[in-house]
Order: sequence, then C-alpha cells, then structure tokens
Amino acid sequence: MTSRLFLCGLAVLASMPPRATAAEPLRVRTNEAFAPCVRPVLAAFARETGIAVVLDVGTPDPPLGASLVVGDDSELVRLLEGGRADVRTAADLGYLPWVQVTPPGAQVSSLASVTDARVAVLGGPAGRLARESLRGLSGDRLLVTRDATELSRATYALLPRSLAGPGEHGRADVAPLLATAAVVVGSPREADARRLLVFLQGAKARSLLSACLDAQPPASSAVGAAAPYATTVADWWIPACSLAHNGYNDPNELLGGPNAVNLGGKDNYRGLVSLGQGGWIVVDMGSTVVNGPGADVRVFQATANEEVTVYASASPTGPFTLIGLRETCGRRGLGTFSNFCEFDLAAGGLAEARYLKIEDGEIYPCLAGDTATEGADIDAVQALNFR
Amino acid sequence: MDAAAGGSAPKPGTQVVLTGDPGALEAEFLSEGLMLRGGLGATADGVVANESLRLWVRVIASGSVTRAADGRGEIRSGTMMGYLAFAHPSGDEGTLGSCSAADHTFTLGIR
Repeated sequence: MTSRLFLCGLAVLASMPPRATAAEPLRVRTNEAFAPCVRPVLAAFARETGIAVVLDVGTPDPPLGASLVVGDDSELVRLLEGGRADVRTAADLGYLPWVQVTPPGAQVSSLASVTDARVAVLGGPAGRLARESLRGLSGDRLLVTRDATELSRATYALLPRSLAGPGEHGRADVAPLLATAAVVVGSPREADARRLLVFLQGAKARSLLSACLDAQPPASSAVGAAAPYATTVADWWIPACSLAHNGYNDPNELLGGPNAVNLGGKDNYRGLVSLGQGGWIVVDMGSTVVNGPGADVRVFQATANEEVTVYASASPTGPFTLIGLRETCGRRGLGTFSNFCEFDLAAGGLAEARYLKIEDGEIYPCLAGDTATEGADIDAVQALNFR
Repeated sequence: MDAAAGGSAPKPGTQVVLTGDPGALEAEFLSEGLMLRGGLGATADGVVANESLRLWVRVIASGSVTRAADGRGEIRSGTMMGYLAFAHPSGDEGTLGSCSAADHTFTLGIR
C-alpha cells in the first residue's frame, strides 16, 4: 500500500506544469571599453520595453550565454565568420578614440619617453594596436591589464577614451575602436536581442551613445571612377589544407571592382576569395601604380577587419617589397559590403609598381578553422595613384 | 612539432603542426626547393610553451631546410614577419609583452 501511494505521488508530480520561474534576463556582453557607453542605452531599453537586461563585461568571444555582443572588429572576427553571431545583424554603433593620459602639466609628448612611471594600456585583443604603438617601452615599464578601475587610476596611460581617468587627455595615434553589435545565433533570448539591436540603431540610443562614441570618420580621399582595379592574376598560392576546408578558392574573384555580398548567413557569400592560412595572390594592376599623394593602393576585404599584408613589384615574379604588414582591413564608408584598407608605396621606398602581392594576415591555424572563409577575404584591389 | 607534405597543387606545401594538438599551433608552408615560406599561427587561446609562457603567434615564417645528423630536416636560421605576444599560462594576451616586426628570427630544430 505504501508503495502504491508513493508511485501515485510521483505520477502527480510528473504531471504538474513546470513551476513558474522568473524569466531569464537578456544578457549582453561587451568589453571593458564599450561597457560605459552601452550601459545607459541598455537601461533605456529596459525602461521602455520592460525587458530585464544584464550586462556582462569581458571579451565578447566567447559570448558565455549572452544573446547580443558588442565588440571591436578585432574581437568579433571569429564570432561573425564562424556563424556564432549572425553577420547579417552586425551593426556599427560608433567609434571610440584612444587618448594618451598624463598628469596635468607634465608636458609629455610621447608615452614612450616616460621614465619615472609605468604606462598602463588595455589588455586583450581590443588593445593590441595600442600595445604595439608602445613598442618603444620595455615590458617592465608597461602595465597591461583589463581592469577598468586600475586603468582609470593610472597616472600615465594609453586608453580608450571611455576608460580614461583624471589627468590630461591628449590625442593618441592609434586607430579608434569600432563598436559593432551582433545577435548571437541560437541564444536564449535571440528574439529580444534582435529587438534590442533595432533599439540600438534608433534615435534615442544614438543620442545616448553619442556621449561616448564618435560618428564614423570621413572616408578616405575621393577617387575617380576610373581608378583601375586588378585585371589579371599572375600567380597565387593557398595552402592545400585551406583549399580543402574553404569554399571560396578562386583567385579570379578579386579581379575587377568590389562586388562581394553575403547571400544570407554563415558561409554564404559571392564575389570574394578567402586566402586561407598565409595564402597569397599576385595581381597585375593593368597600369602602373605610382607613389602619389596619400595612399596608393586600396584592398577591399569582406569580413570585419581581418589583416592583410601587401607587397609590390615591377615584375610578376618579384622581387617583392613589403609596403604593409598585417594591416587591419576593416575601414567603412565607401558604401560597399566589403570593408577596406589602404597602402602607400612610400612605405617600401617604391616610386612605382605594376604587380601587387596580397597576402593573408590573419594567419589562423587551418586545422582549427570552422568556416569556409578562413583567412582574409579579398573582394578587390584598386590603384589610387596610377598612370 | 610534426611535419608532413602539405599537398602539391597549386604548388607543393609542407604542413607543420604541434604534436598532440595540431590545430593549436600550425604552419602551412610553400615549399620551393629547400626553402619554406608560409603562415605560422596559433588560435586566439594561444599555446603554452615548455618555458611556462603562453604564446600568441601570427607570422609569415621563412627559412631554408637543412638535414640534421639523424636525417631529419630542421630550420637553423629562419625569419618571421608578424605578431608575437606573451603572457603567463593563465594570463591575458600580451600581458608579458607583444611585438609586431618584419625581422623576428626562429629556429625549428630536432629534439
């Protein structure tokens, strides 16, 4: 009898509806630099919609349960390319410049000249270019950390403006961080994340973000429509491992003007060639590229800011002269699906060149790759100064 | 590290990977005679070296292969162009320094 009652009790428990629990909040993950910019916008969204939002601060990759991530290009490459964040939802929110923090009246022209204190700089992927700009300082004179409090207390520092504490803030010659938001595919609150993404692009959010983020800087120098694009592939090499894993292996896809598009979701593109791990393509520009005012060469690259290396030569077989090593290739503003980066022949001491060697700078291990677009994704190569 | 032929088209290659964890640190070289040149990269997690340092590497490495006494190949004097960063094994990328340069050097020797 006792046994039957026990079994009956179990049956009742099993048939009961799940106990009502508080809804999981919508989780957003962003880095230390963007957190102060995003926080007031999330509060406004929560007030307006009644949706509870939790902000997690740290590197957005991996998302660690977040339904929406906000990160710099350098942090989102793998998320967007790997399809864990939906590339179609990626939306730029604004630029965050770097500042050089020094004590009031210190009159320090360069942080590299500081001898009586350590210089604090942001750690993690978002701080890589800033750290590299301080390469004149030995390791023991650098304080590399992601601790926002520690960074804001530093007497001397190179920081995103949002993390800078007291002291004088001078202009820093480091490319600004670009805040990009994207929805995490299959996340717990994906629908609410998409709603938040729309909100982030609305007038109220833009107004709040403008207190922290700058608008897109002007695009580079205007170029005539006649500026030529690469006409012929002279040579190429993509590792066999990358050829086996990637889906965009035709080097001829970079010829002509920029035409890359995403046709919907992960690994669904047209009009680009993925260079794989350290692969390269030599192109004939069809005319002579000359060292002129400003940049001489523009490369269109489709995914975030994957790095590109460029060499130049008068001959298709070289010798090739380096004109840009692992340049981040993620500038916006030309109205193309692809982003871009620019190179100057003067960086290699060249007056002119006919052939350009475009090499992958991401250099991500082929066997660890999980997409069909590993390596820099080249859409087009353009001569800006030519004859 | 383990090395093996890395395909023949469009040009012959050589693949060098970390023993036991091939995707963590990998080189894909173009082979031209005894010269190797190509990308050497680690994932975003970096790799822990025998010296108890975590290393991040994204470089184009090149060097000439010579035959060691036991017949295996090695690169005694190679160059690397690109990015290196170091940290303690549990540290953030670059907390012990980082450097981008076109003239790093390396040795890939037999053990």
